[in-house]
Amino acid sequence: MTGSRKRVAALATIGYYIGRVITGVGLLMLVPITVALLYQEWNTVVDFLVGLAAALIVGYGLVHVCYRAPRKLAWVHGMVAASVSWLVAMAVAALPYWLSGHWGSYLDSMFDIMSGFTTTGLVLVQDLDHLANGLNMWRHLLTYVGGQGMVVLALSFLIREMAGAYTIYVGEGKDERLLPNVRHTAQAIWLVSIVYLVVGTFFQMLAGLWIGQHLDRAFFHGMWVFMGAWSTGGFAPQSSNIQYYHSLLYELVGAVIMIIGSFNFALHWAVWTGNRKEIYRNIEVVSFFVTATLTFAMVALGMSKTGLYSTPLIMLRKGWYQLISGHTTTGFSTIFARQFAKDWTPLALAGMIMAQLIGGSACSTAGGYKGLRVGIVFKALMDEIKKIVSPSSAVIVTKFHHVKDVVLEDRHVRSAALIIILYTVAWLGGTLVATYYGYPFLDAAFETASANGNVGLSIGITAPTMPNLLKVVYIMIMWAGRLEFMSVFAIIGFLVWEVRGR
Amino acid sequence: MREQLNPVRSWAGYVLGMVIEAAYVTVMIAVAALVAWAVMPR
Repeated sequence: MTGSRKRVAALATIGYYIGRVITGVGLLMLVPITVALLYQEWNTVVDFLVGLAAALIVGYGLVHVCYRAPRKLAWVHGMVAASVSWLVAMAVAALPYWLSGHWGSYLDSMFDIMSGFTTTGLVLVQDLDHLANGLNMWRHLLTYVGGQGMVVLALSFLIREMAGAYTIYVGEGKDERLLPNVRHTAQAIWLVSIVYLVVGTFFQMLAGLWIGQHLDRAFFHGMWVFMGAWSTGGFAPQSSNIQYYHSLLYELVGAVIMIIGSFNFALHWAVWTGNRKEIYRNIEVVSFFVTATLTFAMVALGMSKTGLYSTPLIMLRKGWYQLISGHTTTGFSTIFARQFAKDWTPLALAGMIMAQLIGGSACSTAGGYKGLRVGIVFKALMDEIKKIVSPSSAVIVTKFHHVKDVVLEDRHVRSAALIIILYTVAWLGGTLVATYYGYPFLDAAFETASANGNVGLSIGITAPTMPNLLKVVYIMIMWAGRLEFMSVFAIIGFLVWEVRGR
Repeated sequence: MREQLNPVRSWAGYVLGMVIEAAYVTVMIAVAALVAWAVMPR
């Protein structure tokens, strides 16, 4: 093939896979349509029918136009397909939001869609407490699907071609194979998620019934709060978030789900299929336990000085809950956003920022640096210290345990350190932009860590009145953080290559 | 990339897996409760 033909073929291949993913997103709208029909929300039904039509036209249109393209994807094309899919899906999925009138502009609608897809949880929706049930279903379904990954969804149900599958799977920020075949891996991820959906919704619904909700409301709130917790998303159906329920039981069920939801799917799969000891041997679990305890100690020490949380139980419900919500990158809250700014001390906020940046596990629904990388970098540091204190002839071999024992090599450290640096740079960049618009530095650092780590806790910056450029910056860092940067750089590389030639 | 082939796949195994995960989280909450108790001014 000539150079220009190759380029067209590559674009067509990327277009084909994007079309498949967008078709999948469109078909998902059948779920909120069903809920809206159930509650006779006719306006919402029409909004979603328009959205469904748009998604199918774009999705099937791309598949039809690109149908003859080769299915095999080069690495860069797989990564570009994954990252562009998320942007196109954002634009298409925002249509029902915008038509509903609950969002101030199309940008606000897209912000909330990206926040949902990336399991962040920051919101610009207005009058959330009077949102239609169909729209609430869509919000939470997006966050549930986004947690597992849209490509994982498409791989499980819509894409049968194996040649290109693995590259776009990795491009979406998941690089572990639970089973040798990538399609089976995607299906295993869905199996774990759907089993937990049933079990988690049941327990959350019981908690809802316990506090006096009607059966249908307890069911839908239970399912939505489960989706927000499991996907470490942080959306809840009421504007006061989990505080709305005023229930220790409701908070505890949600907390258990969000911690389990922040685990690596490889860990779930190992524990579920016989490798039970993995739960305390895995480097990520150990790393998470240590960093969660240390950052909570910072929050607890910071808050104990104020005397606001005067008993251990209140400290758990207000201090630990926000901390673990931030560390698992969920974003559920049991306090108002401005309480962080007005009541919390700088030490407590520093603990929160660190926890939000570290985040949950790799190959999970969570964001942030990830426990695996923090663990690897810590092991590498220990390794270096051992080398310094040992005789020069000594051979130091360091291992870490992740499903199996792995010898720590430079490539592990390099890859982990690189991603940590990229997250930190993006966080600093976002913080500077927010500071430029006049927000206090600590507030800006908190909110940007929340967006970058896909957390969703807010200190009050995220609001419909925030500057449009800051909304765009937060959309970009939510997207880049969720895809772990490499796929985003693949787009830049791809465009440069297309313009300059290779 | 790590490939993992686990021989045991059963619903009972999945349930036990979920119970183990919930038990881990319970331990974690208990440790957090200890920390909360330790920092309380006396």
